[in-house]
Amino acid sequence: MTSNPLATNVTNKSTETASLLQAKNLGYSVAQDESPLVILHNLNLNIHSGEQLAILGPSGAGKSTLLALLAGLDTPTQGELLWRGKPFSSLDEDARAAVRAKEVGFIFQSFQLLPELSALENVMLPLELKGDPKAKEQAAEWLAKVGLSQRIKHRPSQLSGGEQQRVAIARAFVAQPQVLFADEPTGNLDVDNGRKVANLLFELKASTAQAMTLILVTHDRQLAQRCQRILQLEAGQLVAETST
Amino acid sequence: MMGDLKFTAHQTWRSVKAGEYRVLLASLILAVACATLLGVVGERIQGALGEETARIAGGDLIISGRKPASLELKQSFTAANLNWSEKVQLTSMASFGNEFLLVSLNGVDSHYPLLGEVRLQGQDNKTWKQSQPPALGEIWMEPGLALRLGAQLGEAVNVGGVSFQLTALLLETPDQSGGFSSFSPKALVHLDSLEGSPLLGSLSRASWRLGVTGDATLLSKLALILPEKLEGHQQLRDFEESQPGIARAMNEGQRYLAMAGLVAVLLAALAVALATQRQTKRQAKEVALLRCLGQTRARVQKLLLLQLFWLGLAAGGIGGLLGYLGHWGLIELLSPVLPLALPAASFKPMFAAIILALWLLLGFSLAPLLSLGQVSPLAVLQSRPWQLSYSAWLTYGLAGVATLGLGWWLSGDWLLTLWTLAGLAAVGLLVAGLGWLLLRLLMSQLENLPWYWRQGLRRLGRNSAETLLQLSTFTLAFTAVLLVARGGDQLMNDWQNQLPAERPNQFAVDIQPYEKQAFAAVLDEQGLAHSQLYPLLRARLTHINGKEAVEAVPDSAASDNALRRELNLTWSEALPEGNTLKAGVWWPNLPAAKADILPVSVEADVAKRLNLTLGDKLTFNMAGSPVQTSIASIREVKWESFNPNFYVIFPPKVLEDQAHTFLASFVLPEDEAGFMRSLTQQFPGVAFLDVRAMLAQAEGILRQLSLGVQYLLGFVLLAGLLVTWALMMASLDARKREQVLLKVLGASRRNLASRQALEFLLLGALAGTLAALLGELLYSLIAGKLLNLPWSAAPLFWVLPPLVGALLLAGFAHLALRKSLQTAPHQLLKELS
Repeated sequence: MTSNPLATNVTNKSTETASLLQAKNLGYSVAQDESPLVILHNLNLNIHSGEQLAILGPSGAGKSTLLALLAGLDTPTQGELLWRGKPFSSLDEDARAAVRAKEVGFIFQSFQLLPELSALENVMLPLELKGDPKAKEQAAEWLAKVGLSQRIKHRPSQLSGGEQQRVAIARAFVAQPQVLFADEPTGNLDVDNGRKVANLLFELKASTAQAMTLILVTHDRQLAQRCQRILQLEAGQLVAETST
Repeated sequence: MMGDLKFTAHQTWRSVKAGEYRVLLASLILAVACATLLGVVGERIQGALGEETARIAGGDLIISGRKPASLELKQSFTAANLNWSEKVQLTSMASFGNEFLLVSLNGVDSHYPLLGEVRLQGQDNKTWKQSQPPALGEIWMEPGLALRLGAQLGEAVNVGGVSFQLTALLLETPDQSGGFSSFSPKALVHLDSLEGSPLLGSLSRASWRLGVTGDATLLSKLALILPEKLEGHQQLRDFEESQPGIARAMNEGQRYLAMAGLVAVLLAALAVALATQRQTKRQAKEVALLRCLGQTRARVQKLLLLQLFWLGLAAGGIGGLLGYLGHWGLIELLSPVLPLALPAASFKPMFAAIILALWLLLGFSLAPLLSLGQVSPLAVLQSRPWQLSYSAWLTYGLAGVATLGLGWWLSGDWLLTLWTLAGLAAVGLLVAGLGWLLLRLLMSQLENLPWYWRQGLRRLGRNSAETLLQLSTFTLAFTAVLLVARGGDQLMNDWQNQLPAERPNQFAVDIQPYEKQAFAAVLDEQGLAHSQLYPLLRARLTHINGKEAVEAVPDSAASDNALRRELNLTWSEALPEGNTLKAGVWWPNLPAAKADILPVSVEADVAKRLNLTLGDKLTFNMAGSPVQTSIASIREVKWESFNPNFYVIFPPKVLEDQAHTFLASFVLPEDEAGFMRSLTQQFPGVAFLDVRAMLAQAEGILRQLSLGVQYLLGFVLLAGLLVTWALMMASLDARKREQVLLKVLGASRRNLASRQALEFLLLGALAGTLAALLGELLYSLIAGKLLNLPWSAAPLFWVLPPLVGALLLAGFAHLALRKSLQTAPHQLLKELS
């Protein structure tokens, strides 16, 4: 295991061309009474296609904000973000949404399932958004893959936390995204369920035909170590990059 | 206790500052402001209307009789600090030179007029108003009367053997009562001028009226006990008897104002109930924390109650103040068109506002808030699904009591409250049932619909309880607004029809049969619209079913004018315009009857007062001969039409041999005084009765009522919008959550906006359609019962609601969710968590 304290400056020409996501002097701050509150400060970062990257750090380090910026869920207040070498953060909300619809999957700490929809319908959502006529069949298939074929008609309130997260994982994989963002996917689960969900996540990723990129935010160092690369974030700055 | 009060005051203030109670406070403040505004303005307008009514009738309480009221009775009124004025009315012959005319002579005492002012015209056409009676020996006459007599100001005129000096022309008196019962022109003298004259002798057929006014509470008590103290010939009279048309309009108007006010505040209260739902959910975390911090359930509940108290106090105070201040603005706005001076506003509604706020809060939120104490703190803090487990009976029971109490408080009428609430509840249940069926139908077709529809419908279908509640509430709000608008629209149409632009303002009486053709020809030549010329006979009703009429009628009707005076009768082949047959058959479809018994048609009110029914035998004394009749039909007469109307109508031809004259009404334009002079000269025997002043008074009241209707309709609309907004806000968090997730999954803003618009367009159109259907059904039921209005078709009220409903909900949804649609998903996620 190597640690590079200068990780924020780790970029070179060869990696730049193969980058899926590239952050340049990325910063994010929110307005406050007197001076702005800086959440992310001057980050430079390359993420390659097919890579498994963990972002590790204490609470308040800016991990979730970084993930949100990388996924285009918000726009940086400083610097820019390139997606496959093209400007991404400067795109408008709808254009970024179109990229997400096509290439991105999401898993949240608090599952974020729609309470009025069944497990099957929740999983169908990304495909339906794309207008896929086989949404139902594919969703059922993915629910079977996460071991919930018997619960497809159940609503989120009828499922346990672990089961809800498995539905969320199925929803994230069903549209076969290029990039999967996972924000503390085990954070709301007990140790046992957390381990099972993590195993499922990595197994499914390994089983996908294409080179899916996984960007994972976590507190859990063990979980982070299952990724190829770990970025250590503290007070809005990248303080270390580790390859496993 | 003081510590808890302080703690909860701080806590409530902090939450308010953080925007936590925004929707609840807004709903509560608006409900209270609305109720206060309605209360204050209603109190003032009602007060003004009451004064106007009393002014026209000549007092708040009227005691009529064949003799003057006793000195003892008058002294008792003076001792009770009540104002009174007595007047005598009789028909007598006025003469000037060789001219003789029948006049309606009014003798008034020194207190006259009790309310309002008399408008007079003197030398050089100078007009003025005054609140004193004529001096002793003076007489004021209507201009038409002076003209026909040929008397000039300052000249002496003889009435009933007493000589008076004509000092002014009488343009308008505040008490226009008796309008159409007497077709003789009016003259006014001081009562003392008549003392000792044969006019008030023992054979006099004078009628006396004692008007009393003063403290309303005292008067209402007096109205209860007074009938026992009156002498046999006296009776307490009401406004309705003297001004049936205006009285009916005022009754309808006041009833409508009460209903509209009730609906407005009930809708606002519904908004409070909806806002409370959301608030309860949002407060769960605070309660969980308090429990974690070691507070017992009882203490948590006490703290919640105290928070309610502070909220109620604040909302009541602010709402009351806003309502109170708002009413000034509105009164100011309306003052140019308000024909009346309004009595001063009282501060009572301000205090009532705070009680109302607390009442609403307790009624609608006590049960859910108290049940918050039962929620597992762990479930809330871990964001696990939790539900409030409170007794539905307690919740709905409390809400029911709160609503009923509120309704009664606002309307003071149990019947009205129960009808309104029963109607609203029936609509709610019906809509929920229909909505459920429709949702089932749509859900079964889900697969065949495009994604936006599918997703929108899924949301509606899966949250069926929430959807049905929304649908019922929207429909209820729409229905309520429609009912009020529909009622108001018809009421105003009804009133406008009563007072068409070209309504008769002159009556011509005593047209001799030989003058009939010529009179009609002159009017036609001049291009003046006029009624048909009705034959007019005078007769006294002497016997009913063979018994003396006075003995045959109920005691209450013993001194009824219909028995004491000669009645104006007519004959007509067709049912006159403005008359509706209520019972019996109109000729010539009558079954054969005895040749010597003539069929007659009797006016419904007089039939009711004298307890007459179909087939009753009435004997009239016509010029000394008895005429036997039998009631063949009972008619309702639209007195407010200002057309000649009659208590009794005979079939044509049977009375043509009896002495009769003709009567007509016509429309005289403002600038046709010259024509009137030539008409008077051409037909010197014809008496003209100018009813323009009376019409102006009637118009004033109807205009004011119409304004009241429109004004209240505005509030009902506002309250309807408030409910819609509160309901939208109640489901806002869930919708935002859904929106952000779909955005994360790649839905574009356009997609989301279309989906959202479709969902609300569908819901709004559905609610609008159901409201149009149910509103119409409910209106057809209540129009007759509550407002005494006949049902009539109003296609606009069927077409508009679905359109307006759809656009309104979609518009509100757009406003409510616009910001979150534009916000970055990451921000929204943080906000929602």
